[in-house]
Amino acid sequence: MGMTEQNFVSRFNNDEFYRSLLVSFSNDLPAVLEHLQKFVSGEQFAEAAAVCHQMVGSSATYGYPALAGIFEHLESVLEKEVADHELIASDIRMLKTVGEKICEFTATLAEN
Amino acid sequence: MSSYLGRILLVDDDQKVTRFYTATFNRAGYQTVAASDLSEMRDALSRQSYDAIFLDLKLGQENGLDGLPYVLKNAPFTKVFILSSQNSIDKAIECMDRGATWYFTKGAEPDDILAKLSHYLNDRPVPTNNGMESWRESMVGSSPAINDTAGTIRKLKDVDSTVLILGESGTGKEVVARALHEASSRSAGRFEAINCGAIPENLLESELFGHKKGAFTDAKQDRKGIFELCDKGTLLLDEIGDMPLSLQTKLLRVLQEKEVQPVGGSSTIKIETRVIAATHRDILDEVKCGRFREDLYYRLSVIVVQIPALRHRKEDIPLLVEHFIKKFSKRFAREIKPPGQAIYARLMSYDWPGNIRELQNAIERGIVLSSNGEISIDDMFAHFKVRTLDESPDATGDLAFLDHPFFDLPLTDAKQAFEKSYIERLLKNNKGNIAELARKSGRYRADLYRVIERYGIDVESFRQEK
Repeated sequence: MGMTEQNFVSRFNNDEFYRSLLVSFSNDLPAVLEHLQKFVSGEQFAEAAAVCHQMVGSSATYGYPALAGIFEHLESVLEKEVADHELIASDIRMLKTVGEKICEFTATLAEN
Repeated sequence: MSSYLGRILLVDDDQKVTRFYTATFNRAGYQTVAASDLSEMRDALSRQSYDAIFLDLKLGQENGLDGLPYVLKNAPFTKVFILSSQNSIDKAIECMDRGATWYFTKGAEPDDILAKLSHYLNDRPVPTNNGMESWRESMVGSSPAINDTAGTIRKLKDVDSTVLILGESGTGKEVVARALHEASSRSAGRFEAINCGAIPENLLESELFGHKKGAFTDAKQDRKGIFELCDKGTLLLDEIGDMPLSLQTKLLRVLQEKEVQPVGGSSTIKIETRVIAATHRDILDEVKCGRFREDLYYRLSVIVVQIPALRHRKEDIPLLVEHFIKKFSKRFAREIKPPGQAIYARLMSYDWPGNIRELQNAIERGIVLSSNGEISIDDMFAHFKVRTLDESPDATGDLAFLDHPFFDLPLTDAKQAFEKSYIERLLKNNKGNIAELARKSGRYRADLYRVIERYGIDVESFRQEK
């Protein structure tokens, strides 16, 4: 799920320039997820949906379509009139898992 | 870095996205400026010309598409690309119907975006088979006055002399400058335009001549100035009459020596840039008042091209009307019948102080407000009805509303007429201050910009009122 070394190579040809952008993106990711969690805990669903919307675009831009897909799903869940707490919690758990994998992957990029 | 390919304005409120695409475009040879909302986009467009805009659809609370009419009207040479996370064919079709050149979803391969961008920027219009030069087609009209201007362009196409274009606001000075570039042997080179009156003094020098890393706080790397970027091309210095005196001295030296010195640099760079300057001001009067250097005036005015006001070429009005009807019918997907003689007679009898821009706005308004496929004088001049109310608001007291033509209009039209009147009244009272307008009306600035665009209100005219 998410970015693998193989699709990084095919998408950006293992380019140093994109490598640094990806590292910077993944470095920001934990803070974004924490921010999102705070909005959700405070039941500020409109604000949380706005964060998700931005992350749909930036995740896709940086080559993480699966991550973009989860953010997109969560955005639609958050925009519903009645909050589905179970679904929201499940999406956030999934985002954290994928986010950790992305961070692990980019840590290897930064080392290489 | 590759050779310079053009200037891009990236409008997106997500810094992660602007960082990615700024780096991608810059690396490919473009110079990229980022704006985070429509207000910043308008500011950027008022300062200089851009080859392309990449516009996000969701900009916080704003809808990026609401900025499209402004771009199409004020930067007609700029290609607009939508860059959105919405993966929707219907949305893409809607955007392109409204005037966007292409629709990308975020996540598209950067190389594909660059290839498409290059394709559209190098896509020149196919000349129509009427024996007319392609640049001449951009200057709509066949009057002796416009033919004289075209004749001057033909004479100037093979010389590199500096040209000063004079003309009232709205006469089409940038169109003529671009025609001069297209007709010349420099047409394969870059054309750039910069508005000397819209850029703060402390930034203008760097924009014109470039800067070296560390020259000032934000100078994190070397940056080429616009003179160097359009070396062997043509540079339009628009509103030259508004250039600060301190920079006039530096510009004079550049024109004399044909070299620029970047801010913070110690060496100079040779340039072969043709300079065209333009202003709506009475530049000789500026010289007399000491606001414009006499020696720079003589250096710039080797050749002077005076663009005629529309009232001096009224015989071109029918051709211009036809041109704008075609343009806006397509944009708004409306079938509009050709106007009758009576309409033309009314249009010809008016003096058009705002020149071609005012005529263009009137036709656009006529088409937007038309409900039966015909444009009417009432719709085209709807703003005058409102202005009549504005000019004597207190003379007859509030009861003046009872005699106002609002009451002859359907309710929807009357509401719109009132809304326009209301905005214009507040702008007039506040000398065009948008922040004050937002405060008094209790509306967001972004909403107000939409309303202002919708009604074609010229905010600048309220700022200039004494």
